[in-house]
Amino acid sequence: MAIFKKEKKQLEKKEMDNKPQFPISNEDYLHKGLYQTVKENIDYLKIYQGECWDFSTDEFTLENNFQEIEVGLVHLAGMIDQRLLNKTVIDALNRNFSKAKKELPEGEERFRFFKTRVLTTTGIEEADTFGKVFNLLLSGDVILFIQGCSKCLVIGARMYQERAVEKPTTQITVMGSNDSFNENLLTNISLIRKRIKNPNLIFKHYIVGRETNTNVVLAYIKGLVDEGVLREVERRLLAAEIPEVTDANYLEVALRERQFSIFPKIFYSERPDTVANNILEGRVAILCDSSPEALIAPSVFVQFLHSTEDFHQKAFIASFFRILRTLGLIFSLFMPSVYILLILHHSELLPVNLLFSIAGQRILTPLPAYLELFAVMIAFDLLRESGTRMPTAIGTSLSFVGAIIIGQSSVEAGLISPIIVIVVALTGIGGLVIPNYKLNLATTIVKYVLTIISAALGSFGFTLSLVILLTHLSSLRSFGADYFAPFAPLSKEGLKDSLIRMPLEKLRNKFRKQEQYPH
Amino acid sequence: MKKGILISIILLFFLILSGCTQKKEVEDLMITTAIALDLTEEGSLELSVQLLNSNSAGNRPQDVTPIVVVSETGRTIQEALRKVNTIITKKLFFSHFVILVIGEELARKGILPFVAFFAINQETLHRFDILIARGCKGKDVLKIVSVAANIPAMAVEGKLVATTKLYGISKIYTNDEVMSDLRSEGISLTLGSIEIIGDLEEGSDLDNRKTIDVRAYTKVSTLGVFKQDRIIAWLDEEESLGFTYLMGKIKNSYIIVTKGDGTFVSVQLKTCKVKTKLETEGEKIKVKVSINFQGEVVEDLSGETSYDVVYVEDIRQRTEYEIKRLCEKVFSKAQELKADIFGYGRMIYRHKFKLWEEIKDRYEDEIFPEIEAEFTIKGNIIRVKP
Repeated sequence: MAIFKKEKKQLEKKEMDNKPQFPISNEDYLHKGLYQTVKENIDYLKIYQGECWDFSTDEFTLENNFQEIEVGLVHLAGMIDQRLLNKTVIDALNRNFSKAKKELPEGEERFRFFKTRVLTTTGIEEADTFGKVFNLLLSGDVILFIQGCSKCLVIGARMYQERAVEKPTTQITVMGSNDSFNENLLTNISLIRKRIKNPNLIFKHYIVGRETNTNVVLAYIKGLVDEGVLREVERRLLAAEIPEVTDANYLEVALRERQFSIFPKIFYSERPDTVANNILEGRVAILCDSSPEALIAPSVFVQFLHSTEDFHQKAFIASFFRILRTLGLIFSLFMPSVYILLILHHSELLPVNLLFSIAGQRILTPLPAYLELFAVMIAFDLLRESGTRMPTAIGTSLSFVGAIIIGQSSVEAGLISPIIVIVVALTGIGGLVIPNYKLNLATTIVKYVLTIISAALGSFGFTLSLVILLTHLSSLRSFGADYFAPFAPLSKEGLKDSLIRMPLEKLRNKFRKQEQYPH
Repeated sequence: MKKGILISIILLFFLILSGCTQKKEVEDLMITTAIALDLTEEGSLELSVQLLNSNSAGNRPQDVTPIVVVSETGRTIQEALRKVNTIITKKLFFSHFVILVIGEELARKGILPFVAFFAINQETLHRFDILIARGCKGKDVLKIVSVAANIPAMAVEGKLVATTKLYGISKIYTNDEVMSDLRSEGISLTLGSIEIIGDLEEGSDLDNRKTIDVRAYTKVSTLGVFKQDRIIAWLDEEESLGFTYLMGKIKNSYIIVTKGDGTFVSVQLKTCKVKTKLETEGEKIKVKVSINFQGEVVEDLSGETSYDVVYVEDIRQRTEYEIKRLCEKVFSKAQELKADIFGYGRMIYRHKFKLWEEIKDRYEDEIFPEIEAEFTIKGNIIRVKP
């Protein structure tokens, strides 16, 4: 193994030498105070944003009986409500300024007058550094510079173009609420607030991302949440030196443990009801601006097999479908490997009729069994991936091509045996039953690895990789909690909501009792 | 990193290039379902294998036979097995081998070496049943096409299981059990048998499956009695039934009772428990067998069943008498043959070893024929079907 170590060291060294080549911003502006004159202020902003098309500045002069004052309005065109700007701000400036009873001296008094008398809308803030000015300007606020004041007013007139709250696309249920998060953080917060009207529900705000300055919100219920987990999430979020956060999944990199795993370690949901339920169970939800998914910490493996709908059905029925989903997971993980190991290494384990029938099918096909299996598996995954990525209009023709050409014709032409199609189709259907897309993708990879090992080493390899898989799952941790709970470590209380679901009254507060995080 | 990739590529080659290694794909196997052993006229051993022709499986036109029977002679089984490969194209695969049929002629000469060969053979499971081909050659049994099942060996096994469980004149005896009986003292082996009804030529024609009136078929027959490893006699149906009663193997059989007026009544046995006790006094040995049964009257040819106590009591007594008669019949037959097929000698060996040491040389010829037997049959008629 010495070679591997050496390689690793060299790799680390290389990484140290050339740190990520992101454009390092000129950070002069961060703490720079504002100028006294409108012109200077606007000129300074123009150094940075002057070339931008949507950057719009308006300077005009207000006058009343006593004096004339120059003011400057700065905003980004696409991000504000133009009507609000015209009607409320500009009208108010013109109308209210004339009501001044005396001449306003430069400085604090003039600023107060503008803030309290002239702009009588809500959502007015002050800013005195260019850092803050930029932050708010780029978030879509309107900046009002006033001649002779070293502070400026910020008027909240944001209006992003946002997607409507639509039906969930990946976590679909038949019953229950049918709204999902969109890309607007405030809308997402409101969707959760709608479900939990509780003064202890906290949405704590952070700005993460060196270059992107993204708004991130931690949602939890004070008193219900595990303080240790909350501190740990905060710590990791703040310690994270991520330059860009354009989606919640970038945060996952910063938040997860430093353990390699192919399985998704942080549960996510695009459904406000799922997130609300998790918050009520004492977890922390992490919402990120312009991402329709909320991350949930800590997460356990069984969560990925659960659907919100389980709680909309009776316990018996929900339990049955949970077991069915588990079966789907087992199928999607093990079906091809068990098939290949039975065919190649343990034909004696098959009943004679089945063996006879499989042998009869295989006798005409040209490829060895494992190559045939790989070919069909890859064809299936190709079809699935194309189905995900392609424009909807081509969808029907693609499924047609997939089913007819690849399935039927190749069987009829004797290129592949029907049993292979059955095996791969069952694997695929089993995978589609898994309610979580990330877990679904992870099983695809594990499936290939298991199949290669089983084909090469037989049942020995299969058992070995099974042991490694279970050991790996049991060793994972998520924010101090055991990832493979309630199976490892086994907890009777936890099993009530794992592969089966006990009636709700038996589940109350299970998480508060069960999970004690060592923080 | 480069080395890592290189290593993975090399590992991948192991997988793709495994064509040169000892890999067996299912289609390269000749699934062997049954083996038959016979004696040829010249006195050498003839081995026949019933093979599944995987070329006929799947949804192909049924113009190819699904089964092939191939025979070869040899001085030993191993030689014959190797010679079989000169006829067939693929490697024999023994994991699904379910019956071994031994021809009657060979069984008269002794079966131990052949059973022992399969007991130590690593390729076969040790769960296959052994049958004697009664009045015919073993290979002929393999050749008879079955109407209901695709694979004749499976059909034979199915018949054997059904006969044993529902009727009771045969027995399922695996290779290991046969070996244990042949190797232990104080017991004579009994084995089920199978015979051919009808013409062999017609039976081995696939067209036999197309006629409603089946012209040739295999039929499970009664038990054969062995002394050492040679078959010496056949039990008739009543004796075979009596044997099954005495061994406590009766499951779901019927007993036919003759009433006072000469009409027949069928009593279905629900449970039947057998206890065997040995009483010894010096070299005088007494066997006490008590049989407890629960039965149900399912059929009365006089057409009059009743719940009357007198009627039920009458049937009960007659049933007890009938079972006793069967047991006594087979017991006296065994004594006549001087073959302890019930294993009472083994019981003495196990429980009274000192006595066994003294009598074991004389047991079969002198002691066993003199054993006294007492059969106590007690039962209940629990239900009368109207």
